[in-house]
Amino acid sequence: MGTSEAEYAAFEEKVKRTVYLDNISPQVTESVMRTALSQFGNVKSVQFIPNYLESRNIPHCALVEMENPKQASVIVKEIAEFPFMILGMPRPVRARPAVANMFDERPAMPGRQIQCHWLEPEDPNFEVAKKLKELHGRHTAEAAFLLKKQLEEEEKLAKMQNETLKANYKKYEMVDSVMSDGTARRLARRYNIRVSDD
Amino acid sequence: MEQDTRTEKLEFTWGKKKGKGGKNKDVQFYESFTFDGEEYTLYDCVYLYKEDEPEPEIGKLIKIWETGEKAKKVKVLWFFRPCEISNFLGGEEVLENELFLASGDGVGLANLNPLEAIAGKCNVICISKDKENPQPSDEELQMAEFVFRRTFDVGLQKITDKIEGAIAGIDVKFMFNRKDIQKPGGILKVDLGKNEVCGNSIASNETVVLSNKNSFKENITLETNGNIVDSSTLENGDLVKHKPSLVEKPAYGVGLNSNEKDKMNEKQEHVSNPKVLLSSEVKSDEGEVKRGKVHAQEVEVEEKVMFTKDNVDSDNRPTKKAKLDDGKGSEQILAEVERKKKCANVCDPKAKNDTSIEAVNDKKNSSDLNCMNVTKAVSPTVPVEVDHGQSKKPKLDTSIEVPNDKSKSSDLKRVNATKVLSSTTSALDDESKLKRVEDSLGTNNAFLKKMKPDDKAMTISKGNNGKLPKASQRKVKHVEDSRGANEESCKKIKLNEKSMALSDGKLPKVPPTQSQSVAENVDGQEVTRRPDVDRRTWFKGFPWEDRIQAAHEQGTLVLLQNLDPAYTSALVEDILWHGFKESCTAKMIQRTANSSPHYGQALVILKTREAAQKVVRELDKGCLLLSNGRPLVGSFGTPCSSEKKAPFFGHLTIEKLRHQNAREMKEAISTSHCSQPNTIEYDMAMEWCLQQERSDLLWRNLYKQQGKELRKLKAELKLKPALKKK
Repeated sequence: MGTSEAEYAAFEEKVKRTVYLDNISPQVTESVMRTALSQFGNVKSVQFIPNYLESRNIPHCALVEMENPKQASVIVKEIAEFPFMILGMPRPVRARPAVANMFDERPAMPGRQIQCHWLEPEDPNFEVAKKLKELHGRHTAEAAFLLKKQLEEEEKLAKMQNETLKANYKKYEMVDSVMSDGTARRLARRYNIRVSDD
Repeated sequence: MEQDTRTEKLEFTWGKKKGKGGKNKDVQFYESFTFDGEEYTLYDCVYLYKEDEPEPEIGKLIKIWETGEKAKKVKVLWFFRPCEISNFLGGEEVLENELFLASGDGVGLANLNPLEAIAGKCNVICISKDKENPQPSDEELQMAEFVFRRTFDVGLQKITDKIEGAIAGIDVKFMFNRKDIQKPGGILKVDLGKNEVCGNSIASNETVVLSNKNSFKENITLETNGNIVDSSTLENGDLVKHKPSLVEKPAYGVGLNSNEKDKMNEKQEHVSNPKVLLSSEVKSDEGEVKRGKVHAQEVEVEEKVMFTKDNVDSDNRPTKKAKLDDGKGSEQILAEVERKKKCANVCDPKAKNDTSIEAVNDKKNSSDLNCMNVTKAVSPTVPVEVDHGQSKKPKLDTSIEVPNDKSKSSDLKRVNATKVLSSTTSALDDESKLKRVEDSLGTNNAFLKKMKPDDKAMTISKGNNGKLPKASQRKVKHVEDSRGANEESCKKIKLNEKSMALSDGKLPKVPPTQSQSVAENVDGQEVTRRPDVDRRTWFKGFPWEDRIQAAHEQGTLVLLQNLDPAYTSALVEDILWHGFKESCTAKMIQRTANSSPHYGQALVILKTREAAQKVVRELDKGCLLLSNGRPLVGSFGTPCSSEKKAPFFGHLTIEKLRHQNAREMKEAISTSHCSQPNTIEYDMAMEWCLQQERSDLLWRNLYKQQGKELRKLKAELKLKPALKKK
């Protein structure tokens, strides 16, 4: 409301040099974030976006303010190009340029006027407004459903990958054990194959 | 009504200038100012009232200035009450009236306030053992409303024992007690002791002196009318004009002179606490002062006449007058009392003392010797209280000298008595405040009950040992005459006391000897003045999560939906105010990449459960249409419980490896990296990226679809309202 143009301009500047990151593990703290991103430039501040409403523990999101817009754009580019892991594998974090309304304390756009009024029940708009409310309710439900779906998908993928990883690990373990208990050498001798240990 | 009067009448003058600053050199800094009769200087501790805050904040003035726009500002370094930082106290032992000075850097250290927010001075003593800190005397400690010895670092959120370096850019030496404060403190104590001890005697002395002064003035101007009280009030009134605080006290004295003298004794009995007495006195003073101006001179003359006749007669008359005064005074007093509650302490000690003394004199002159005694007792207590509040420069000495004057006007016997009392008072000075209080109480009780001197002596003896008994005996004689007056006055006094109690923040130190009524009053004060804390709005110590959780439990949390995502929290608060006339704290839910671009959400904490229910009900039944065609949707919010966090999918570890190479894994985890394309990790990461893209696509499509539906509906809406709006 009472924000001056200058203040809002400063805020917009801040938005430009900020990166939005999501798919972050809940275990990531501010200091981990700082060290992770300091390779791209000077991290000025890290703010996690709190999740007040979703009862599920959706992956965390954070706003990372860099020193200048260039560093921010580099982060977005790099992370899009190479999967970037913070505090765990293999799910990479994702980076996006930040948007103004992701910020917690932001100045109001100057010159913005808000009006609101109560609609009388006989007002023809009243019905429309009712419908709009219903639509809103439906949309919210849809979004909630999609989110649920997404989380389920993610869980499925994670489980699948876990299986893959386990299988892979088992394979390597088997190879290892074959090498270590002498079976490989015995076989090599039998088939007259030279096996070098290195 | 009291508040109204307060805002109307607060007077203000700047004191010493300090320097200029600011961009355009248009900011003038000051070292002191006078506000509502109280002189404030830099580094004084003050109460600040905040709207909606039942408990005053306590802070230290560290900067005083006036901006180019003539706005008066003060920078206040805060003190924390222990309950405000209870989360960080741990097992620390905390004194009953201990505060913690804010230090370090961060929110809650200090902030700027309009000067008008100052509600009064607060007597905070530093009891740090630091060498730099002038150690307070026992008397000072007893008078202190609060003490502090530790600081609370708002940045580290830690209690620190040491007060060193600089706090908020101010050298800590300014945080310690002032060297010059110690002397006044001692004097005050002495005064208190005198007042209390003398009870009757001291009062008589003071009254005599006052009466001399007053009588001269009054005699000249007015002629005999019989209202001793009035005369005193007149003088007080004049004084009051100059110094509101002083006026109040003198007025009290005046009231005491007439009926109140007798009553005063009773009051003292009940009150026992010097503070309480003061407050009551203040009220009476105010009321009386107004009247006093009109009648005071006449009254004095009459009083003198009365004295010459019979003491008894004079007593009766004063009581009548006193009643009248009380009636008027009580009303005025009530109004003023609130103001003065804060200011009573603040008022200039000198002025107060003078006025009180004068009042006493008036009282003495006007009333009979009996009355005189009563008034004396009363008056001493009054000045004492004043001293407590102001605790700077008591003028009891002058009052002590007065007795001679009294003797001239009043009977020689009484004069002698007063002298005795004065001597006793001096002896008593040494004694502690409590003892004094007890003494005064004892004397008061004696008056009320017409107890035998011995009894009085008993009570008094604690402090005065024998000296008091004499005074009490004399008083007793007078008391008999004034009984009727006392009863009436008692009622009034109680009223005053209640108001006093309400206004006083310093009651906690009530001595055990207080009467029941006093105790009750005191309790009332405690309740009003010490409601639960934890409500500093500027202090971010309580995270939003906790607040919404608490609000949810109380049913005051409302989730507003269908807001424009671009709204800010402040805007949401405005909207709620506009739509429901309810004030609230709002917080826009921060958007994330998956949030709907069409709908913004905000969590709102309302003040009461009723308000929350009203908002939800009305939003459900009616339609509050926001400017861009969004009907607001509201529901009770249910914040996500901070219970066990669900697991985070996608970070895989191999169980066996974790056990084998725990340390290695740890090191690996704490680093971040971009994965290279020749690993299984990279493959998996790619799968995740695929998944993320898929989700994104889904979200985008969903929102696109929703947007379309919305537009369609809104188009319906807009056609009609457009006509209506314009």
